[in-house]
Order: sequence, then structure tokens, then C-alpha cells
Amino acid sequence: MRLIQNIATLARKEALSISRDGLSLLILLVMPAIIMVMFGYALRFELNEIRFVAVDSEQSSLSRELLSRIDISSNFRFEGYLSHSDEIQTALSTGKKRMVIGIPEGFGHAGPDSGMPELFVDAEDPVLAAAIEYAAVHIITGFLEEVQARHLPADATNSHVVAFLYNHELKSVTVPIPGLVMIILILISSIMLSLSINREREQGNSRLLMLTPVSMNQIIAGKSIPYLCLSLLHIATIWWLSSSLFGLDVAGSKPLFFLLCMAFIFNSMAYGLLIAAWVRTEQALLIGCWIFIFIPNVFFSGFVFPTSTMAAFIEPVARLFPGTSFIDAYRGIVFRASGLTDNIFPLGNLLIQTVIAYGIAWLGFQRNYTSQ
Amino acid sequence: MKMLFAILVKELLQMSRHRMLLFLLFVCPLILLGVIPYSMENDTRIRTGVVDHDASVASRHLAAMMVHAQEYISVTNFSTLEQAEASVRKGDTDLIVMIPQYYERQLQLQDPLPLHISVEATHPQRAQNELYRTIGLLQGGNEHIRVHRLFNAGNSQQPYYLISLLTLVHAIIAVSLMALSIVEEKERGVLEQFNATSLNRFTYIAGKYIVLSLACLAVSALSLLFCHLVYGFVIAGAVWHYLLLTLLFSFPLLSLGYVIAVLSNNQIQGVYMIIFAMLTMILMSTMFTHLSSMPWWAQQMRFINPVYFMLDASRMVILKGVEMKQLGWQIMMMTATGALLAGTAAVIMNRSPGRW
Repeated sequence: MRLIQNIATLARKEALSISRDGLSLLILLVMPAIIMVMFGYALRFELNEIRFVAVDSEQSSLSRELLSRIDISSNFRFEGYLSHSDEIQTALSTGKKRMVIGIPEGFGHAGPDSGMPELFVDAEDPVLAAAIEYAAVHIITGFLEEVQARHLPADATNSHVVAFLYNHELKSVTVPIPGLVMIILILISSIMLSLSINREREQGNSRLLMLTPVSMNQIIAGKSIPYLCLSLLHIATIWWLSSSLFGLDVAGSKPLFFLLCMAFIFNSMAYGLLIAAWVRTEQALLIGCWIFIFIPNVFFSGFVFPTSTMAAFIEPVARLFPGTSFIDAYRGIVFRASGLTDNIFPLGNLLIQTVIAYGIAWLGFQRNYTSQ
Repeated sequence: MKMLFAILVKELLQMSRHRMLLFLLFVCPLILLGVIPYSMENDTRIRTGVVDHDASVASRHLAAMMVHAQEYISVTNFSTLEQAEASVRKGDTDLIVMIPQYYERQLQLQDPLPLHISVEATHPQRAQNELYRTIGLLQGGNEHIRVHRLFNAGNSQQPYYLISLLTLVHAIIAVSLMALSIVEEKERGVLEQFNATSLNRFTYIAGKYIVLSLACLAVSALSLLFCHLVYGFVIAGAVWHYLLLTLLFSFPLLSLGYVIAVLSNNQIQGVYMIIFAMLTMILMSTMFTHLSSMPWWAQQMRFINPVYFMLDASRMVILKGVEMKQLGWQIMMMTATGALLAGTAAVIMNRSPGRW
């Protein structure tokens, strides 16, 4: 009874101190929504009107048909011809044009001397270059198969039947959303609680608190309750925005989605506390949270690079990061409707790490909570 | 001048006595740089499931082709499509190849049946990459369209993203240090005490600009040296051009920190504003996306984003070896945003009553 009373008193104190700082409260309430809306639209990875030029040695109606076929696609825009293949390097060097298509003599002729088009892609940004390559090759092969079919009326083309599972239209919004949710939860949860604890220590409140009959665990529990309430609000905002604006409703079990978000929030809070336990100033805490929590999770979680493209020996390490677990499970639950048993590893990983990080943070606070 | 010198000594002493901060500034970026670049390789590892309804020599040959190809780290056989799809749902399989019945017979009759390929597409780019490679492999080596990749012979994405990481660390450190060091002094009443001395505001701020931009320059130089030694990271242009750019980049960042410091009354407000401003600038800066994929309004936002211009200029110097004089536009934009922010901060500070 005493325990609950202590925690409730601390929670009330913390809630009051949050609500009296209007500017912070406003930022805390609206930041997740703004980030979600702004970057849900801005962070796209699809090709959009990539400019390309052509070296057309064939100059036939067929070659012009191919170029206009590529031009029609929303991915590409045709910007004219180069007179000679020596100009390819200079055409690409400005970065305005990203691709050159070389159409050789004999293009489209049946028989062994038929020439195949060549692609020259600016690979300064390798990810973009790969995407351009896939898109262009896809259009060109489709076109060539169609041309072949015109010559051979019998259905001799051997095209494969392709199905895109769980994302039939290849909506590219599925790439940034899990990562954005991760970034919002990670930054806000890790920093909110630890900042407020660190601040009390820096200003000497912690010494006063230690004179009262509350324990370290009760202080942390009491202070975390208002922030957990804020996090619940953030989960609701994220859920509502991603389903109403981006049409990404939770396909799997909703309680499981909630559980995942809560596990991740607790995990981030524990890591925030871990850093708070070892640094003294708010400045160091902020830089520590960015460097140790934000940057590794952004790069290792599969938000920027899918884990399957990383160096082979680093992939198991990357899988251990909380962000990776969160994004994996998020994709599973929200897009593929996978159940609890399918997500045992990510959820277990988050929980185990929460306990360990909290334990170390607790030890750190025991040593230096009252020191300034 | 003497006053400025005194302020410089104060800032340096303050920084050097804060051991945890020194550790965060000079050791942590190196730890990050020691690990993160391994996530920037350009490997492909596909976990495939094969559903073989034909069970013939030809169908087994297809599966064997995937087993031998380097990109397929695991090839699992499933007896039904449902089982394979359950494995995809669980996240254990990325791609399913279903070989229909009578595949071999039709192949011998010169009328091959189509294969059914299903790919997990919650990450569309990865899905297209996997599909592209699989179709290329299954069609059996007649690569008819030749693709040349220019300006990046090794086809590695590591240099490109190392630039992003260096810029990211620099931006975070500069803004956080500047904003919070001013707010902390404001909160603790140090500024009130300065008010009673002959120190003027300009000297105080100038001292912070000088010390912090030198600290950021040191961090960048150290990180650059580390990348060079460990990853063989080379700058195609001149090294001092890049270092000059980092020094210049500190100006808008520190000015942003200054604006945040002027707007916030305590460090908590400062921290929240930093998070919001930095996250917006970082995600909008084309650090992780391409400019051409963004919608129009997001593309226009780059004109007020110094991080974008720094990335653009660094990529040119480091990857393409462009001379400093061709970067006039980027340099001008960074200076202009910096001056605008610093001016705003000065105006707000002048108007707020009772402030120094």
C-alpha cells in the first residue's frame, strides 16, 4: 500500500512538472505527429522522373518505340540524344542525368546479329544506381519479349509468374514507416525519462529525494508513469496516422502490436537510463543518446540498409540491436499478420535487453545518484 | 581582444575538465566508425524456399543452380506452397520458387511452363533486387543487357554513406554543444554574473563559436584519419578543402544551436527543440534518400537546410574530386543560412526584456 502511495505521489509530482512547462509539453505532444506526416510523405525511395539520354546508332522506328516506352514510365524522362558514345562520360558527370541507353546497330533484327541495348548508369549513389538498373532492365526486357511475340504468334515467351507477397502494389511507403516509428519512439522514450532524472541530479533534487522513504526503484517507477502515458498517446497517434494517411493498417493482432510498441518503449527507456547513470550533465546525456542509441539503431536496424545487404559477419550483431528487433517484428505483425510465436525472438530480445540495461543502470544510480 | 582571449581560456578549461564530454566527443565517434561502416556493404543474401511439384531432373537442376550461387545462403525444400508461405510469414524465407508439375516434360517439348516466383515485398527495393537476381539466374546466363556503372568501379556504397555518417556526427555534436552550453549558463545564472562584468555579448558568443568550431574540426579530422587508416577511405579532392568545408559547416550548425539556446528557458526545452530540429534536418538532407524521389515541397526544403549543402559539397570533393571554386553555390548557401540564423538569434535576444 505504502509502495503504491509513494509511486503515485512521485508520478503526480512528475506530471505536474511536465504540465507546467508549456513549450516542452507542446513539443512532446505534437512532435511525433509532425514527424510521421512530414517524413511519411517525404521519405520515398521510388524512382521519379530520372533523366536519361540515348545514343541511338540504329535510328529505326523500333528503337524510337523503345525510348518512348521508357519515357512514358513515371520512373524516367527522356532528355534527347547524344551524337556519339564518347559523350557518355561528360553527359553523366554533372549528376543531372543519371542514365544513358546505347542502342547498337541491328537492334531488334531477328537472328544472331541482333544487337542488345547497353545501359550506362551513374553509380555515385549505388542504391539509386541499382534501382535505376532494375527498373530500366525490367522495361527493356518486357519490350523485347513483346517484340518477339509479334514475330512469333505462338506463345513462345517464357516469362515467369511473379507475385509480390504482403505488398501487391509494391507501395514504397512500407520502407520508411517502420523506421520512422522506431526513430520517434527511440528518441522520445530514451531521452524523456533519463533527462528528467538527470536534471534532478544536476540540480540537487536527488539528494532531497533520497532523504524521503522512497527507494531508487520507486523513484524511477514514479517518474516513468507520466512518460508512459505520453508514450501511449504516441502509439495511438502513430497507429491512427499510418492507417488513415498511408493505408497501413495493422494486419496482425492489435494487442500484439501494442505489446511490441510497449516492449520497445521500455527498452529505449532502459537504455536512456543506462546512459543517464554514467553521465553527469544534460549535454553529455543528449550527445550520448544520439551517438549510442540513435545512430547505431538507424544504421543497423534495416531502416537505411536491409540487414541482408550488410557484411556477412555483422548481420548477427545487427540482429541483436533493439531497433532491428522492432522493425522485424513490426513488418511481421503489421504487414504479414504474423502471430506471437513467430515473433518470439524479437520480443524476447527486447525484454531481455530491457532487464539487463535496467540492471546496469540501477547499479550505476546506486553509486552516483546523489553525487553531482 | 584580451576579453576574447579570457573567454577562449574559460571555454577550453571548461571543456577539458569535463572528462565524460571529452570521451563522448573524441572516443565515441571512433567507436561508431569502427562498427557502423560494416553495415554499408552491398551484399545480397537471399533465403529461398523451393516448392518442387515436378520432382524431375530438370527441376532439381534449377534448385541446384540456386544452391551453388553465392547469393542464396539457404535453399529450403517445402512440399506445399502453404508451408513455404508460412515460413515467409514467420520471416525465415524471403523468396519462393514454385516449379509446376510437368515442368520437365514441357521443357523437352520446347514449350516451357512458367515458374511461379513469390517474393516477400514489405521492403520493395529489396524485393525487386532479389527478384531481379533470381530471374537472371533462372534464365540461365544469357545476360543480354549489359550494364556499365560509372564513377564507382567497386560498386561499393561504403564511401557514399561514410560521408553521411561523418556529417551526421558533426551536426549532432555541434548543435548539442552550442545550444546546451549557452542554456546551461543561462539556467545557472552565469550569464547574470557576466552581466555585471565588462564582457559584452558579442565577445561571449564569438568565444563559443571559435572554441566549438575548432573542437568540431578536431573531431572531423580525427574521424577522417581513422576512416583512412581502417577502411582506406580516400578523398579524391584535396584534404584541406574538405577540412575547410567542415569548418564552414560548423557556422550554420552553431548558429542553429544559438537560436535554440535563445528560445529555450531551460535545458529540457533545449533538448526537445534540438531533437526536433536535428531530426528534420537530417531526414530531409538526402542522407538516406535521393533528392529525385522526394515530393516537390520536400525538395524545396533543401534550400534552408545546411546539412543538404554540406552533404552535396562533401560528396563532390570526396567522390568526384571537385575543386573548391566549383562549390561556390554550396558555400554561399551554408554561409547564408548561418548568417540568417545568427541574425535571428541576435534579434530575439535583443528583444527579450531583461536579457543581456
